[in-house]
Amino acid sequence: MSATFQGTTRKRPASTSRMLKALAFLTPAAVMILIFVFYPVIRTVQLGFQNFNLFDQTNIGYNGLENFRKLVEDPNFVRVLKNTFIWVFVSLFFQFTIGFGLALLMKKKFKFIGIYQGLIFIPWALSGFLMGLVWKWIFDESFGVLNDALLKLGLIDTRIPWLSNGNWGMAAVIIANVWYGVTFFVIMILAALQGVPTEMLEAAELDGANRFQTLFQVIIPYIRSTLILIVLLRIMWITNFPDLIFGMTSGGPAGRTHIISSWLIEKLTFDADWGAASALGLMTMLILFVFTLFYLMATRLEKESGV
Amino acid sequence: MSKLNSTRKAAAVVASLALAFGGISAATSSAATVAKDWSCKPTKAKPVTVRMIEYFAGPARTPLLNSFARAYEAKTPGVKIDLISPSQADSPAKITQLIQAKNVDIVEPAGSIYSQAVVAGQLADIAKQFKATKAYKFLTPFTKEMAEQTTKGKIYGIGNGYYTKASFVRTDRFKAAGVAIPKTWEDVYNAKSMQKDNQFVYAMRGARAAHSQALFVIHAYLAPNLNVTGLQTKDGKTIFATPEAKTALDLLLKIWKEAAPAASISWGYPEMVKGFHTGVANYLIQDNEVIQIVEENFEPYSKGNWAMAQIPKGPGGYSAQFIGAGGLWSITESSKCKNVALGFLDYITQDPQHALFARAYGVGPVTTTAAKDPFFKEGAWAIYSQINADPKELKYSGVRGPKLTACYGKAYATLDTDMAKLFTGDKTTTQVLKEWSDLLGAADCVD
Repeated sequence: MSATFQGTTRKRPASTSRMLKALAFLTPAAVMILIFVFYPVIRTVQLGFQNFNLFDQTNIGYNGLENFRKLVEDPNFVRVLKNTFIWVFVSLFFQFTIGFGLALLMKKKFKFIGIYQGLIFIPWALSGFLMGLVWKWIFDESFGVLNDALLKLGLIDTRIPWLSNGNWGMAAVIIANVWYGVTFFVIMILAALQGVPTEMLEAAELDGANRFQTLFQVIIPYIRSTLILIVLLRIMWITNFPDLIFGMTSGGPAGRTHIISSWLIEKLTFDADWGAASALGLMTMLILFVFTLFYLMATRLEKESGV
Repeated sequence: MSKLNSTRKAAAVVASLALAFGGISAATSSAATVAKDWSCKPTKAKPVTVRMIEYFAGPARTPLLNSFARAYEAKTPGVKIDLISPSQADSPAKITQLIQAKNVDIVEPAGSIYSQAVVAGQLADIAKQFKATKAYKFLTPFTKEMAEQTTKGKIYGIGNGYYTKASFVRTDRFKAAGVAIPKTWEDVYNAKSMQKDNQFVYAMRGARAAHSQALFVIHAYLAPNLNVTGLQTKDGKTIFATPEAKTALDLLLKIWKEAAPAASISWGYPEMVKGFHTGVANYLIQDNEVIQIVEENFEPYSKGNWAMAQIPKGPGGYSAQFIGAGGLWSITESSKCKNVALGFLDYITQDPQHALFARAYGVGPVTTTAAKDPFFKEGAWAIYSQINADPKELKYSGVRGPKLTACYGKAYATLDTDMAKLFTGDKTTTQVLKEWSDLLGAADCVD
């Protein structure tokens, strides 16, 4: 009894001290998260239900679901959702496949691999908006280098209206996005590939597996969890990546290349309608949350069923 | 390089109308606080930092402003000028944020920011103190008149340069094609006969501020039946409900589709300027600072291959444009040391500082001494004397009441998108004009 009591009294100060230490170390980070993550989210929720237009600051106040109603009834809404879907999944498909291919190539040792890796990684280090402006000049119908090159190579007879036609505009921004995002997959997949045990690959070779069998039956299953995670992350990032679109088309022509996040910026910056922009932000958050739930459930079910 | 067009700048400058008509009070501080705000005494021991943010940051003006700041710091111990120069794409958001955060002393509230800030009482009325400065004494009468006319005794901004629209014309191409330089909007359209592969007549603006193009033509067709707002006829009704607006917009659409590059649907300021100096378009309507850009990127004016002309007129022989300070400096209501901020503005608005700024940046001067500089009367600049002397090129001040200012601000992006929709065929001129009339002619837009 006495020993237990003594033991307890000895432990208490040490435990309290550890807790205090932990609190001291955690508090700064917690405060930062509260200020820079939770406060903006709470403020966004608040603004989403308010009439808050900077052009009309004398008429600010709660307006219920009015912002959401106006957004859904906006003739651009359906097109923006459709564009977002195309923007995310077409970009993702090409970024992933090209990125995977390049990562497989870069796993092998060859001459000047360092320079090659450096070149591949460059886009990731650049500002998306800045790159948007560069791509804008490249794609410009009248004085862009791309049309000039295609004309001189005899591949086209007339200039392609890259940025002045809605369909070509979407194609142009997606091409730029593929170029920009491939790097992410190269970096992440290369890291995952380097974690595949050599013994496993040697065993597959001894068992007579060819390259495709090794890839699809050994490598991909081994790095599956990484692939699921990076694809999910990338979907969220691409959805929230209006930089290139804003630099290249500002959502034009006539709003035909707007995705949900570029439309949000337009509402915020040009319409000065912080209420509508916040409502749109909340809708994006909800869409991504629901998508993430389904995605994770689907991938878990797939794993459990052994497909 | 990029800059909002004068319509947007007009909306900003003009917001002073909020004061003129709305009587909106910007003074929210108590008398004691106001007095304290205007009586800072910076010393080396207790220095004062003035935070200043510019809207149109760029290589032609930012280094100059920084050199003015260092010179002023040297002559005024205890004062530090902290110039913030965001990219022009970031300017609107950054300036708005700083004003809202009450974390800036001097702002360049171009575009719609001025309207918003005046209506919200975020800019300080500096009339009394500014009129006592040396800079004020040397302002051109027009600048003084504009400042006081639009604010009825209150001053919320000090102009830092004028922008006036004129036409930039590739005379070599017009001569070669045997086509006369357009004097009317019909002439612009008819000049399409000179077009060749990737060489068009008109440098259209189809992206941000595209509706300014519609305003040019509608004004030319309506003038002199326009009031000072530039958005209403003399009887106070919206210009978009007039038959002239329909004729004008139909013509503009024809010009756009037949005499301008299709790519111009995505052209903003930099693209239309580049379109001109690279030879894709032979006729451009832009502000005075473009003179310098064309000289640097195409050819000096003296070579004679390009010239300046007045903007095209309508069937009645009139044209109209907003004339006002395109850029201006304002002191925020939240500034703790307004007298120090004003001291710096006084310094940079005086000559030789202002003359240097106007020449380097290519804007019309606001001071009498700079205005007398032959530089602003010769060569390409001579067109502005011609414009000033022409009674049939109307200059409207753009004074608008707070309600119309708010409506125009809210409608701005819609007007631009509708312009693009006209080109893509998603909307007709009749539909667009009806919508614009509804947006800007509604009862709650009338002051």
